[in-house]
Amino acid sequence: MTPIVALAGIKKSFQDGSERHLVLDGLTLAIHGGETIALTGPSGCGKSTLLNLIAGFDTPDSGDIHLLGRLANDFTARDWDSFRRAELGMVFQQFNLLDPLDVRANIHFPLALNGKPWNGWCDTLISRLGLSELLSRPIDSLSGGQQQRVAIARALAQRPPLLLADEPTGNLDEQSGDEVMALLTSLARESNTAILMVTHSERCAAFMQRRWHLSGGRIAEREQHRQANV
Amino acid sequence: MSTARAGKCMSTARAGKGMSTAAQRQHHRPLHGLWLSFRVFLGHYRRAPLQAGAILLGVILSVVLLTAVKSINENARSSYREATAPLSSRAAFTLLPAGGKAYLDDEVYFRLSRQGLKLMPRLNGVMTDDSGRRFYLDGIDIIAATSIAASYTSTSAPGTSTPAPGTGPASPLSANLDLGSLLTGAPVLLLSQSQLEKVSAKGALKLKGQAIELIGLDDALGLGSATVADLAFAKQALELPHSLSSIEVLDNIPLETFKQQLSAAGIDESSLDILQGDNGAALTELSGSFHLSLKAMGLLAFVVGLFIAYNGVRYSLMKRTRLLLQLRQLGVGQRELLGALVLELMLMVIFGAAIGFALGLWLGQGLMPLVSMTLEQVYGARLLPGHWRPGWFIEAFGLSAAASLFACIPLMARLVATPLASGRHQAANQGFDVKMQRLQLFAAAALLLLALIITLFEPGVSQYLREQQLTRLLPLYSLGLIALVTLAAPLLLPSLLARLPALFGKSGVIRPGLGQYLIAELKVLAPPMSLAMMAMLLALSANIAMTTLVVSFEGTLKVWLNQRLHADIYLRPGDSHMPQVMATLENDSRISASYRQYSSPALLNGMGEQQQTRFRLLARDSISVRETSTLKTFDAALWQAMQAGGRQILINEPMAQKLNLRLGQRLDITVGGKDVSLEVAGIFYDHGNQQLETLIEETLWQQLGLSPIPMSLALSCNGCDAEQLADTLAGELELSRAQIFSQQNIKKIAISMFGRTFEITASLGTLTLLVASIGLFSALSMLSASRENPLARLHALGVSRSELLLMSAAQMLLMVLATALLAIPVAWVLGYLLIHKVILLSFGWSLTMDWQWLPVFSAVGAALLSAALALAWPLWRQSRRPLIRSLQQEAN
Repeated sequence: MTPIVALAGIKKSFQDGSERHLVLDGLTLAIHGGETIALTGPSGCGKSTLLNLIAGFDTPDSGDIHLLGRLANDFTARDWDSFRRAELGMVFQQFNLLDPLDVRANIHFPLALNGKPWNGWCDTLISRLGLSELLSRPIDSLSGGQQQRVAIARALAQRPPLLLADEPTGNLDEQSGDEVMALLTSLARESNTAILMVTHSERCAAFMQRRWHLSGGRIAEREQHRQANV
Repeated sequence: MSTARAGKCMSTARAGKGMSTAAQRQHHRPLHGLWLSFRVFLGHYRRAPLQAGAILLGVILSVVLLTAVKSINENARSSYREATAPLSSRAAFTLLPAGGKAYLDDEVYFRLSRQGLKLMPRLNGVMTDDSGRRFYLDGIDIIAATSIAASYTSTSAPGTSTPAPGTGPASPLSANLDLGSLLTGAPVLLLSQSQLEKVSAKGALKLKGQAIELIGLDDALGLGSATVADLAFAKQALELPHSLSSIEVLDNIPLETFKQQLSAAGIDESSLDILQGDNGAALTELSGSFHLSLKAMGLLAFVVGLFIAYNGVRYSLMKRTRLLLQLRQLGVGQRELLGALVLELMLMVIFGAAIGFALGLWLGQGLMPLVSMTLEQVYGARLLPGHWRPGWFIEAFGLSAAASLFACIPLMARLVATPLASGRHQAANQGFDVKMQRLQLFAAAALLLLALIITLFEPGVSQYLREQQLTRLLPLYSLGLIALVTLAAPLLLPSLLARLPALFGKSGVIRPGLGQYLIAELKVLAPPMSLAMMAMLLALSANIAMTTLVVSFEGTLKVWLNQRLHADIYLRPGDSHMPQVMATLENDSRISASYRQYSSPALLNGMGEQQQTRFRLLARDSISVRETSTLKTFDAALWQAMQAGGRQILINEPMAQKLNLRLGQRLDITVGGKDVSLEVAGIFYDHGNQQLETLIEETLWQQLGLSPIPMSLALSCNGCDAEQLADTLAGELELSRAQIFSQQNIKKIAISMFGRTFEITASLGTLTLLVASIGLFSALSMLSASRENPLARLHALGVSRSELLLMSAAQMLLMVLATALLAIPVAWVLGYLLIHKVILLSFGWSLTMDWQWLPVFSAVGAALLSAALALAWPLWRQSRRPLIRSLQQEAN
């Protein structure tokens, strides 16, 4: 089966003053449909850089990126826009919702960009995420947990094959974080969406099927211990 | 015991209280907190120099035009008082020939001199040199002028006593002059240094084969474009050996005493028109409206600049919201923070005002030739080279400091008082924006209501001011009306912009997705953009209104000139040549008709603010009166009455306005030494003329026994080439081309000359638009920079850069168009008020308003262009930045 994301020999370095730091050193990985993966590692190890490369926010120094079977190294800006628009969902620590729009318009936004109407899956999402009563509320009137649930609904609205999450519970308390993670993984499973999630939290990582540890610019698979209460 | 214990307790309590106060003092050192906060802010600006630059730019721009206009106005006013002082203008009286004569006999001068009076004789006229170059010659007695100038120089220096005659410092006039040779009529011309350079560049001057020596005088003497000669040489050059144009009486004596001396000298008082000197007051009054309009434009630019500065402060505070909260969370008091912010603002104002002041003086110098040309051509005033006073800087700094504090302190105070609890900031900000919008809407409504009331009561108030002899307040009254509209319009704008999303939302044309976001985000963009848009609205309205005024003026003038100039050629040979010219032309087959115009200074008794009002009485033959007078209003029986030899007079519109004269009113006038009573039978348009003038028929002129020699002639020639014939006639009649004009030539000169009346205000209007464009650019740049995060969010969702660009462009387009939409009716109202109130009340000319769309579209196009440029830069900058950095950036 063709992996959704396949990276081979990816190298990425950053200039810091007079020194150059190698963050990713020939990294190779593959993510298949429906897989959920937690990406852990010490600060500055390149976790977010990896997400940025997969989302097309940044480019590698060398190596190949394949997305849905296509070589992304040759993607034009237009190709990246299409990929993000139709195939990718993103959930950020800062939520990154569109403040001028209300909850409903935020969730509908990715569908509307592709000219699609509000559908039954959207109704399922808002019902499962407990957002039914909040649809006409402005974003800034929501709590952190509510905002993150809106972000999840938006990211999954068009059932993307891949969802990238960067510390999605970083701004939430433990209980809210667990609720959000449970909903995220359950809804992703229903829509057969693969998740690659950057996290420092053991609790969050335990919600994922696999755990990758990034260190020294390379990934090592770690044994996953599922949380007892999940 | 109890008392002792109580006393001990009290002293302990006091000591305790004292200690706690000392400890509090130790902890709470306001200046320390203020200073530390100030240093933190400096650090902020080191990291974000563009923010400091935006504030400085606003202050600089606001001070630049204010200072430029101040220097122009102040220099012009001091020029009116001082410019011609060494030569004349400090005369107590000026004697002119009465009864329409062009010259005085120089016998009058000799007789008055014998009475021991200090006099300055003058002879003016056009001199043509051997190569055909023409000069307006101002012939004066240079030796007399030298001693007068010397006495003025010495007396004008503060703290010095008046020197004995002949012992004063040398006058600049006497420098480089061989006074002895001047007395013998040596051909010497005095010119300002700059004029000398122009003349010399075209080769040496010769008159009847004799070389003329040119001497340059310091420009500071204010000669302008005039050419001064000694009287002896002027008489030769103008071929008027026994004539004078005027005599200035320099002794400061009462009119009655002077009249007695006239009588003692055996001079008939009726042969002279005696004008009392005003030390430049008439010129100051005449050009008052002009300077007022400059001041208004300067203030407008100041306000527009201030908008930019305010926007800069607002943006920099927005970027520091978190920093301010952190400082407060660390224990810095609200007052200390506010103090540090005020200190920071004042430093910016000092720097900005200093730079703006220097640039303003430089701009003032740059604009001076334009102003000088306008004032010299329209009002006959000459300007001295510019100078400046330190007081102007203090004024500019004071005004910008006060205005900045007034505008920014509420903003700063609100920010430092923001609740420390997170989550309440945004709600507090939104509440403030809504409150401000409501307040602005109420203020706008109140101002418009006041303007409406003033407009409704305007006829009554104008009438009252005229009756109370307060006509000088009329322009101020009408400018006040303009100020109300100018203030109200921008205050309406934020509400209009805030309602845009709702308007689009209700229309149902907006689809979900990017279109919906575009409109929804307008609500967020409107408050921070309101100020820049208000500035743009002001500048756009002022610019369009000024253009409308200029276009209307030019259009009306052209129509009026077409009616007024019915003949093909106009000539003015002077009294001495006129009889000969008339005789020659009488049998000239090339001339199909000739028309005569007579002119004499006259006095109107018992009208206006003074006992006697000077005006000019003109007379034309009856055909000219009928065919060339464009009447605003007239008596139905006017022509029959005039034909029947009735004593009817037509007055020009400025005279009717200024003196509040109506049809049927009788005017008691003194002309040519006679008192006559004439009835106002019509008011004629006199565009471009600020002088008070009247018109009667030739037959009445003759009945009054005034000079039978016309001042000028108008000639018609059927189907001829007027320009060519004028050339031929100039040669045949020995007239210089300054004495004979074709109709086309006059029109060209008139239109270009009066067009200059508004050239400087139009230039300032364009500069204001430029300042507003810079303001828009700065506001949009700052706003776009602060929007990087939301735009990056959209991009992360798959919205392409071109879609983002289109969306941002559409948002700005909508806001600029909404602003322009409001600016157009505001400009129409301002144009209407300028034309039908300010110009009518200030100059006495009613113009037909000519609204043209091309200048409107040009001004709106300029606004859109600056918006496009302002957008392009931040979007370009963003395109070069990794998106993720914007996403990681804090929204605030």
